[in-house]
Amino acid sequence: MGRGARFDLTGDGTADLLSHLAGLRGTDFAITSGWSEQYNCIAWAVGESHRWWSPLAEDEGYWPAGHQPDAAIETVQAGLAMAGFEACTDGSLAAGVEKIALFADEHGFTHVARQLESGRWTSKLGSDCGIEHELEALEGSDDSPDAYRYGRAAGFMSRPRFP
Amino acid sequence: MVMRAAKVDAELEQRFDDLASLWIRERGGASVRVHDHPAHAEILAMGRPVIPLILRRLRDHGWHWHRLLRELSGENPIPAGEFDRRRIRELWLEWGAERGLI
Repeated sequence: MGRGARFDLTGDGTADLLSHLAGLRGTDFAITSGWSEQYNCIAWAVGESHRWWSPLAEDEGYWPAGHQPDAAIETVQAGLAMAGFEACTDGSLAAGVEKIALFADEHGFTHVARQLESGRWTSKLGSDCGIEHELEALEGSDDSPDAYRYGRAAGFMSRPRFP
Repeated sequence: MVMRAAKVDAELEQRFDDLASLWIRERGGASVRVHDHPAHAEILAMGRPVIPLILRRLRDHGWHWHRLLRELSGENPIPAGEFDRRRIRELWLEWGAERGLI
């Protein structure tokens, strides 16, 4: 079961993490940071927590290649390549290698998670909390229409892991 | 007349709070297309009277309000290339305070 003590982290008293991400139920996960619109999953994947990253001008975030016309997974991969990541085949644990998993749904990129040295994964869920989790746990979603939906892990990238 | 105005304001505030909560709940987990939600358009359609409500919400709870503030006010106190949400929040609150909106 999740080790997080509480899931109501929006500051508005509205969100319940488990009601959004049904795939977390019954898995070993932990809430590691609270609600913050200061940074998002992409920033967290590259190791930042001081700014919002997005390829889309409408999101008004940072993008190393300048804003792009879409958020296709290839577009996000191109931006992350500028942060030192290269495409790789899977999310298996490899010594000295830091991997990220890019999620996509039918509309394109939705989320990116970063692998820890333990083999588990860390994610910042948009403006919502940060969690440590199993990769597959983010693929499940609740049936409710307002639940977060990240789709499936659609691509992996890696870069050397620095101490 | 005064009572009627107060009633309208209360209704506006309640409608705004409902829309804001819905938007934040449904897009709180999003890292891209954060504004892609019907509530964004509905709040925009409410016009400039919601600016003080947005500023208060921004001050108390944060969230991605800066685009709506720019769209509603026609002004932009944020310098190009500023992506620090904390700084963006400060600048909009300063903008609101200077105009007596918060």
